[in-house]
Amino acid sequence: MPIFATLAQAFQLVLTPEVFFTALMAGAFGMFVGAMPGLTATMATALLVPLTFFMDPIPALAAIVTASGMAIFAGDIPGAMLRIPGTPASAAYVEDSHRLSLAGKLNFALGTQLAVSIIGGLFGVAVLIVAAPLLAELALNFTSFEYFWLAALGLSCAIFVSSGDPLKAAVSLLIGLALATVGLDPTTGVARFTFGSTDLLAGIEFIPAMIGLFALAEILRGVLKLNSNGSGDAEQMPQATGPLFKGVGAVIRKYPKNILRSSILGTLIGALPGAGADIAAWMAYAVSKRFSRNPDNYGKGEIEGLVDASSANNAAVGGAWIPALVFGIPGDSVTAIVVGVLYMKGLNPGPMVFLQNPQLIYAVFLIFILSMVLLWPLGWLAIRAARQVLRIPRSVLLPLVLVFCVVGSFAMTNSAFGIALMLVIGLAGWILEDNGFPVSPIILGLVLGGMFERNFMTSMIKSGGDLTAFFDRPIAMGLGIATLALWALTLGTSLYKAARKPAPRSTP
Amino acid sequence: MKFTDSVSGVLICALGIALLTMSAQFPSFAGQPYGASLFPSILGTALVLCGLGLGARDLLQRRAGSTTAPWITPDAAFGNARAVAAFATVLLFVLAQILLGRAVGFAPLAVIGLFVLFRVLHIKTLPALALSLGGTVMCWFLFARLLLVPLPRGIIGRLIDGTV
Repeated sequence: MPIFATLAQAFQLVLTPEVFFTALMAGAFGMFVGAMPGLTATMATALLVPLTFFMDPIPALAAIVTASGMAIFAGDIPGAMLRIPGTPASAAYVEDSHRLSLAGKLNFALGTQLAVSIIGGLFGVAVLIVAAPLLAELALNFTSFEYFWLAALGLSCAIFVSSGDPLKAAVSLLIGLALATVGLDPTTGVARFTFGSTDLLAGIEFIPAMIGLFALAEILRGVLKLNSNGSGDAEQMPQATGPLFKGVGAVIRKYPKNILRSSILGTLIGALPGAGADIAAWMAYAVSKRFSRNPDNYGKGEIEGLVDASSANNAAVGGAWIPALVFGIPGDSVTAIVVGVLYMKGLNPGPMVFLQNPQLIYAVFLIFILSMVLLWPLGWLAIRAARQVLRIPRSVLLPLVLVFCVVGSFAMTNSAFGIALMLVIGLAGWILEDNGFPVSPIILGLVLGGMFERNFMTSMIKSGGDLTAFFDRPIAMGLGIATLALWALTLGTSLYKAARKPAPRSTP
Repeated sequence: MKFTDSVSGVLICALGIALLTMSAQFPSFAGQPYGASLFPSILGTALVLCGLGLGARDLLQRRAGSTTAPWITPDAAFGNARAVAAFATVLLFVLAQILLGRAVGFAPLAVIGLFVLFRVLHIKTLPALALSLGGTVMCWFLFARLLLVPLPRGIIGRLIDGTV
């Protein structure tokens, strides 16, 4: 059978000390970058590219696959410990994991996240292996109308997943979308809201913005609290007790349907171009909240939401490779870099690779499985090492995190502009959050805004302004109805709750 | 700094109106009915509506007597001089890196800024000095040496290069 011969060749390519060593080193690097607040899986991958230039194709791909997978998981660690998501993919459930940590369940939260990340990741790989061509073909049939509704659905989730006030979450999202319009307009090339600054022409980099919103705002809040409240250290630091995986098996047995549902959702979202691990986590969290028996606990330390979102974002990593390998269309920013590396190595991604070099495709699949196997020990080590952070007083940690924020923001633009961006957005985020406006929708709006507007404008121009065209195509209609139903359901529920609210306080 | 939702609503309305006003000035092209201003205008309108919604809701609650909070409440921590000093030091640290980074360099500014911040946060002098130096060296090594980020070398770089 040729498939066995191909598989044997693939095993020969992967099972070498060079590939193992590269994957291990890249995995450790991914863990470090992912665990550092503000540094993302994309950054880990981008920084590896110059190194992969000197490698053979298989070790090069092994480095990228392992580093990006590890970074997505490692982003959960500072989220749980410091309420600063390491990567945007961890932002959806950072509140829950941090609250669990503060309740003395840090090990339980991180152990669960590691276990479901591996399950979700393996599910994504399985789908990548089995159904890659089918799913990619579906995504390829999408037009701007489908993409518009897909982005609309993802953005709507940002409003409805926030545990607070949906109206305030909507304001945050609109601010994020408005920030995404800064720079050159995608349809006409007009400079918008740049105020004459050449740095702003390229738009607002989301990484300094994320560092500002999640890290600087947290530092400002922290230093104020430390000095006004002498015991600030003790109450801020989560307690880490007990073995790492205690109780995790029970959680997995309790929520197998959630893990399966979110792994499927994550893989599908990952496979769609433009939608990556972050949207997968948001959507899985929103779906989880909708179907949960305890939706009111979401955002307050609910393990169910953590299980869903954590499995979805790792499943999306495998899913994102489907269109990248089959059609050369990147599913997210990491695979966009991967497509570049494949071209650099002379392996032009597309259906022809499957015909001409199937052993390379199978080797990629094997690398994925290898990276998930490595995630267990490396994740365990990373959690153990990161736990030392807890022993450091907050008054020592906050200034050190501040330096990393400054340098991380600088690194994204290689200029002080990144730091300035972080400062302005961080101050705004601090004021907004103090007034009950959630900051996570700002990041989602900023990340998805460009794609959302581009598809909206393309659709408007194609249809000549006829809004019914947005529902003409069957998949677009399905996605559109799902989005509108979500809005109707939420608005209806809010109005129903408002109407049922007893008004004894209204009497003066 | 806490505002009531009415004040937040007014600020959000102002942001929406600013977006609408600036969008109206974007050039339009003949034969293209949907230009650069369409999407920001929709966002501006939505912000104004949300701002009005927030304000209206707050005013209704006030009328019903369920909210009696003052319009603006300063953060209680700002009453503490040391808290204000720590807050200001964080902002000055970041501002110094933006404005003086190129001239003075990342490392000297980081050491000084960290030391001041540690001291304000009640860390003793010697540990504060060690932490400032250690933190800066670690950061420099990770980013400038390992990740090849071109952090500004400033005055020390010029001394090493012999251009001062």
